[in-house]
Amino acid sequence: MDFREVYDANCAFVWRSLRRLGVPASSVKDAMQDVFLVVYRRLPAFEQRSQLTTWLFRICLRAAKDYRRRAHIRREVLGEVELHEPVDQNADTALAIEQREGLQLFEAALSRLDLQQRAVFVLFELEEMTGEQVAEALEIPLGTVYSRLRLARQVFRRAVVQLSAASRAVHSRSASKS
Amino acid sequence: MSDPKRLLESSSHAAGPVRRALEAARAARPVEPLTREVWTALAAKLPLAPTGSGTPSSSDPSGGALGASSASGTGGLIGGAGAALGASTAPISTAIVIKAIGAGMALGVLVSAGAFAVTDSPSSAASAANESNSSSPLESPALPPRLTVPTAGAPTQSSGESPRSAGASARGPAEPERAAQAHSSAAPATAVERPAPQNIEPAAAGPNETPLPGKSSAAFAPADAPAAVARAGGAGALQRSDGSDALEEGRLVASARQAIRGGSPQRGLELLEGANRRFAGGQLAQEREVLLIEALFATQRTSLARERASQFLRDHPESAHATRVRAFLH
Repeated sequence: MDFREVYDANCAFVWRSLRRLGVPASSVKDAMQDVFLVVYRRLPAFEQRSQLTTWLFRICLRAAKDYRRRAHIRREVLGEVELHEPVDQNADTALAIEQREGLQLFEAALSRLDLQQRAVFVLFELEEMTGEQVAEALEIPLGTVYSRLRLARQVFRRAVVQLSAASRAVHSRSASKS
Repeated sequence: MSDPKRLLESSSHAAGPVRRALEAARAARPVEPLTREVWTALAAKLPLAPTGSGTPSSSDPSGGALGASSASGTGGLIGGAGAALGASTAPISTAIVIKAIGAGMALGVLVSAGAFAVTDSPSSAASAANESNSSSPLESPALPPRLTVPTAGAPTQSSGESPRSAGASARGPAEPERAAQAHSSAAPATAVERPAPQNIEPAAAGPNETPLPGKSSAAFAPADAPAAVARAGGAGALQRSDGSDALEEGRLVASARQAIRGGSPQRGLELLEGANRRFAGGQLAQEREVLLIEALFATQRTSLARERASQFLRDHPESAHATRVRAFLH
């Protein structure tokens, strides 16, 4: 397996995994470099006993942990809390606005989850891995996957409801002022 | 046990906002230049073809030199000696300028290792995910400046070097202004030619590791006296009592990072030298050292970079930078 092929095929996966695991936009390039440096070094020894994406995700998870350790003070100092950039900042269409708001909601809700819950949640809900695959990726028992998923969903749903309500309240206040 | 339905499955009963948030997240894509930029940055550290199907060089101001390298046809190979490293002539992220400043402010604070502790760390010895360093507080110990330069024509990396300690820490506190002037004038001369792959193999790395010419050479000039290091450290310690120095140190480190990752690693080295001299033992000592290792790699001083990387890991095995530093060793 050629490193370049791996990179081309999985760059977006690594990016979104890192972002969903809490690596902010300002650090994601560095984190991606870290991940692919490890991939480069380890790829010859990768025996394909597991899926490439699960292997990559484990590396991303490690990188994200490193960045969280280093970055949480930066977040406090600089207010660096965003997860994703807007998909297309130039496209000021209604669709783009909706997408941006959806992302903001997602980010805010996801930030309520701890890292273990995030990992399970994004792999299952967004990467559409099976429970078995998630268990393999995170090297945890299947039962743990399900329990974390259940908890993550609860937290995520609750957060979305709260944040949506708060957002509506803000909108209605600003509308009434104007 | 069977998997539950996913929230985005049409048959699930996820509420509208939940579905909307998840759909937005699923649609998110990395911005276009990012994959190119990361690849270019990797190519600066690894023997990779810096240009190719996904990494057009149109945005690369140093495309000529890079093109010469990619023409070798072997740049994309993996599995060779991990020591072979390319030159850093490529522009990459500029979005992290203030990060080091933030880090500078942050490093004054002790970070709890458990703040983001995760309990299910994969621990398989065979797992590639085990690259990460263990969790630990951020440290900000004084890392003694150790700029060393191998002698020209060294036959091998391990035995051919004659490390010398840096002028950075030994020249005393009167240097920063001069260094700053040097930095401002050094930019045009910072282009680094990417050697042919055979020249970046470890055994052939010696000729690439000759002392830097001109100012660069002065930047890495021999400095023999540990006492001088101590003196410089003392000056730095005095300066650190001023909070503004921490910010200034952060700015210098941020500038160095920007230079290194913007395709001017030589300028980055000089900035770091200035920072090392001015803030010896400063709060961003680790950050500076990691950047310095990166810059050394990028300017083909691979054996020196490895030596410092090894030393860094010995000194700071628990550092949050350990993962990145370790990657330079393989």
